[in-house]
Amino acid sequence: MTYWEKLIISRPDLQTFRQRWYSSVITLLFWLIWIYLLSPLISLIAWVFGIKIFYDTMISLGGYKTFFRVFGVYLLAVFIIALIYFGWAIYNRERFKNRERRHKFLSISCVELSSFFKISEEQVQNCKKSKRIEFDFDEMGDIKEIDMNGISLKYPFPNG
Amino acid sequence: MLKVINALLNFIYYYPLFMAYLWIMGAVYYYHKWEGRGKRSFEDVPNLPSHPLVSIIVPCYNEGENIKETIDYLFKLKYPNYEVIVINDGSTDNTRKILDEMLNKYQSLRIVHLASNQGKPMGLRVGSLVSRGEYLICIDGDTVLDPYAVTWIMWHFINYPRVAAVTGNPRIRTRSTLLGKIQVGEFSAIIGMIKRAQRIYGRIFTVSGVVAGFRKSALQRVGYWSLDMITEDIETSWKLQLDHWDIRYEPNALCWMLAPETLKGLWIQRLRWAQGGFQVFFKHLRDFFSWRKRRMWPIFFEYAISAFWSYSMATVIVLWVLGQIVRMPSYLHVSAVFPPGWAGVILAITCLLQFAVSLFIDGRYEKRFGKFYYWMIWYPLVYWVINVATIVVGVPRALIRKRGKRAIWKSPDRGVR
Repeated sequence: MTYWEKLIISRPDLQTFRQRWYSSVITLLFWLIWIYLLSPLISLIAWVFGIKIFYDTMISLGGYKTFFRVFGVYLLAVFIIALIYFGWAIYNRERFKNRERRHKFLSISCVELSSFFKISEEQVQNCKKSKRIEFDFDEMGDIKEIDMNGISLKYPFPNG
Repeated sequence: MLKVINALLNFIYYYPLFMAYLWIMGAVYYYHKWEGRGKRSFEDVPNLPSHPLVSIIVPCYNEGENIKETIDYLFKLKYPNYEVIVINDGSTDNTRKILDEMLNKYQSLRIVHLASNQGKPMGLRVGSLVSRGEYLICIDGDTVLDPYAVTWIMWHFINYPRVAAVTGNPRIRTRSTLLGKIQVGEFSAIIGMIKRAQRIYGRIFTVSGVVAGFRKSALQRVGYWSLDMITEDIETSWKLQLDHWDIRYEPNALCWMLAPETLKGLWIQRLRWAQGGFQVFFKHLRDFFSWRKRRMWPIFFEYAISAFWSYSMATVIVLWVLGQIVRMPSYLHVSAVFPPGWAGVILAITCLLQFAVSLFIDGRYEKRFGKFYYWMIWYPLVYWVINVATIVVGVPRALIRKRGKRAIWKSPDRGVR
């Protein structure tokens, strides 16, 4: 058994027998509704087995025309969607490929972090070194107190 | 009026039908181009030229039951250079005690306690501040990360400087009930299929909040996670992509998550997604009219049309139900929500085909995955009913929500255990 197979929680026994039974039966009923949607197809297959009736209905009386008309319209619609979809993808690929204006391995400095979080650079560096930190915030979401390894600093922070 | 009703009926039928084909085409193309037609195992990781320090950030709130397991699995990762930062967001259960006890167990484990509950976006911001690495991988406190996931995510960051975020492939652990089984199919197959299709045209609706990697310098440019967004993952994805960064979907970066298994839990989760999504949509609506940001147009269009579809569907259902109770005027008469006949056949076959393709593509990540095909038949109903209801309720909520109101989290339903 792989590690993730152990992670799967499949405990139907935690439900009542009635809950389990309902789940299976209503899913089966839902499949039947699905089959209802497919009833014209099932009828068609039935006609195929009764070749003469199939021939009369689909060929002599022109039943196939509706089928091919509906099917043809759908195929055309899917084709147009595919053209737009892949066309847009190809346009963007050609437009942006090999255009790299960003520096590789750019990393942000403590100065930028200090400015965003409104604390001093020294505190940013200390935060990065600490194994356990506690923060408290004001209502606006700004840091009002930092506790690192038992040493507490309150707003306004020195050099912040 | 009759023409309007007929147009609505056609729209609610054709929109999911043709979107299904778009997703299928995109996912199949992705499978051939980037997943090596399923021949490569997710354990067969790419060789990286270097192994930069990665900071794994785990914001958590009242995760006493799960956090130990999450952390223990994080120290089994097959990546040589990483630290784990757990942010305890003012939990009221025993999370703080458990974390403090674990602190000395792992050398590269770091703990941050917030004095009061500040919400997930603030937890992630604090994680960014204290992190030593330029690359952040954020997971939820009840999530187990696959040992190879970090390597797969880092491959994108190292090779493509334009990539700001990489989202992984969440798998559902809770599979005891019908709702659990439906979500297994939905997450593994449908959501993955949509992400693959979106990846083809280069823009992704959202990273999964449960597992996503970020380039810290990109986050700094867009102001990190906004504190007032209830779906911070969607908003950050939009901000990054509107700033011309790329987001990648990496199906090999697996994680294992707990999901709600009650209707109430599912409703709360999906309503949050719908409300949060539209909060982001309205916030960035102006960007929709910018030529420079045109790569996001498909995402904007898709989201706007799906909202319109939900309202159209709700209108048609209401008219149909009323028609069963009272005699409606002929121009408001709806005989069936989805008419049978060849149209019904094609819709039913399309759904079954979509499930089959998605399970086939996703089946390589789990053995004996095909058995979920039986339960996935529910997905269209779940999608249509819950999606319609949550969007109908969520859009007005997003519109009236006070700007700047902080997003604070609540403990979700985590399934039957």
